[in-house]
Amino acid sequence: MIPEERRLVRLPTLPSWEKLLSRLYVLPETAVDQKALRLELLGLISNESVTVAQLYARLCVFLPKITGCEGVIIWGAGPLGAQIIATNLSSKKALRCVETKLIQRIAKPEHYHFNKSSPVALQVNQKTMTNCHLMSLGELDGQQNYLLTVSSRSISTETSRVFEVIRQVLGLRLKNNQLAQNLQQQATTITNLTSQLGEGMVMTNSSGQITLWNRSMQRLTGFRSSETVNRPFEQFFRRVGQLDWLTILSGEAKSPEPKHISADFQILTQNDELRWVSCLVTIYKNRSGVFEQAVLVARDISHKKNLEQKKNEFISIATHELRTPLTAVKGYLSLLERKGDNLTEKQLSYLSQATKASNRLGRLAEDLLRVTQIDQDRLSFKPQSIHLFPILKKVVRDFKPKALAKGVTLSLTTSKLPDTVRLDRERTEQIFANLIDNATKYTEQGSIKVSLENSEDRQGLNPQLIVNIRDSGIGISSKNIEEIFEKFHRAHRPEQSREQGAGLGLYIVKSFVEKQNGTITVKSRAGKGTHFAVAFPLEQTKRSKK
Amino acid sequence: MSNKRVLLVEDEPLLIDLYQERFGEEEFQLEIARDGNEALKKADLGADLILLDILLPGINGFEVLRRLKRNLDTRDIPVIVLTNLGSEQSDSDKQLAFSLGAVDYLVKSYHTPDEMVEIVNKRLQ
Repeated sequence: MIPEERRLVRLPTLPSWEKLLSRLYVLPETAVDQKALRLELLGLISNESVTVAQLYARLCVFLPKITGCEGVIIWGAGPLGAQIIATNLSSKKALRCVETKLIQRIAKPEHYHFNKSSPVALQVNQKTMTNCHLMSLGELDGQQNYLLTVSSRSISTETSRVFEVIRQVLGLRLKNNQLAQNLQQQATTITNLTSQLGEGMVMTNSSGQITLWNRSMQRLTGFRSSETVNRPFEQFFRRVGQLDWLTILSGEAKSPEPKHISADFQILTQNDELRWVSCLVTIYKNRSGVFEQAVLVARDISHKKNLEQKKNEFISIATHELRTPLTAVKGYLSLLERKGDNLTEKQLSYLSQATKASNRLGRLAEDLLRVTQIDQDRLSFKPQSIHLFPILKKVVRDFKPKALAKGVTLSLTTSKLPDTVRLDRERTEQIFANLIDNATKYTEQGSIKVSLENSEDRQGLNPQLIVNIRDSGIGISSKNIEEIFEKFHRAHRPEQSREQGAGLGLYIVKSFVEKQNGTITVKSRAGKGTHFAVAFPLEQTKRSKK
Repeated sequence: MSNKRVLLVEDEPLLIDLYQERFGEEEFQLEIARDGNEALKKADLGADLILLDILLPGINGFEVLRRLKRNLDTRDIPVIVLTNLGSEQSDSDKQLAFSLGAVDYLVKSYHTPDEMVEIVNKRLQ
């Protein structure tokens, strides 16, 4: 960010331009060619594409014509004395003028009075120059610059005005020049600093274009800064199955806290090689909270991602491979059961145990497969308008026998609330089957109550449908509750519960809920019971809009 | 239903034995094809239903399905994909199978032979 005072000063535009023009121009007795000359001079000194050096050279030609002075000298006061920068005199003569004691004294900053006509007795071309005008112009390349005009004739008020205008505009030009140099220096410092960083650094502006691309990014991707700056960020950084990046940044910028977010991206290198980077993104916004720019620090995590991918592939293949023998085991067990008339009671009980075990193995394989699909973002959802109540009714009906067998009542509170949501039917059924199955597993007595409720935010917007699943089971300790949605986390040690599992169910549930724009929360007290609440955005039907 | 022919395309001996064992009790006639080419040849001879595996030696099941649907003689035979690939929920393999003209997508490990017989008989009716 450039502080206010470092921003380049704009050269005079219309209002002040008109003012300047009138100062030079409103002189009825001035000859027509004089007016033209002045206009040309003004055009020249306000033209930003003319360099300061060119401008100085032109002034030496114009000023004698306009003001009637004989000599124009522009010099810089450096540590080694005066250095002539531009003049219409010979440089020897010019130097002699400038080095007179009087000029030297006046030109010292503390004694400096610009716009003062000084009777400096200078000899130029055998004439005594009695009327001189000395102006301090400003600093250029570390030297204070001065302009001296020498004239044998007196300087009129009108001419003084011309000088004043020139001084003002030139002052701005020099100030700008200096600011531009400062900026250039700062830019060089930043470039040097960022190029030393071992980590990649990228900046984007409010329209999502890259504004900085450091050397580490070049090492990582093969693309040079010149190939990436001013190009869209998303041309190089990709996120699978995500909102477009600018929308995310603008959304994040709205939140009141200073924003740092982490995100993983894929980058296609110049050699068409796919690499993964993990980025820490800092979002900057302006005073009104609008996203202004983002700074990304990127770390190459391709190696880690490759290992992760290999792990996922392995689990995926292993699970598929498991399915075939599992099909045979389950199949033959079912054939055995079919012809079970000749089996003894003991043999039948062995058969039932083997069937249970093979079913559990099957569920484990399916859960593992689903988790790898979630982690690889390969799950697809087919959202459609559905009523949630009938789905809950079916799930509750399916689990009722299991609950009853344990002496636990499982009930669904009848509801006529709006319950239209836009969700994938099968996955939604899985969410509630999983939660109600868990409740049944971990409740030894009492009840499991499923109920629906509607809610809105404070402004009466964003209506939601909330499904509550409350049980009077063994509960989850506060120590464990934070982690229950994590992969391979089991809330209960084997001695607390006879129920088995790999700790994947709630991870899958949470992924399914969040992938469908829902939220899931849990409250629990050990020994008292657990309350899961799943909320989905309610679809606005004609009836609910009324 | 007595003369109905069901073609099972399956390369895994364990599962061929299993399905033969149970399907043998039914009235329909069970034909076995152990790879894609054999499946196409046997389908050409006529079938009332095809149970098609995907991971097969030689031509894979998706390609077999594509060719069956391109052939005027076999295009009307209903094909149930019976595989251990993918899942019965929303899944890219299932979507591909349906887009190629399968009437159902079943994961083998989800269904006992009894359930398979029920599904097949329902289709044959």
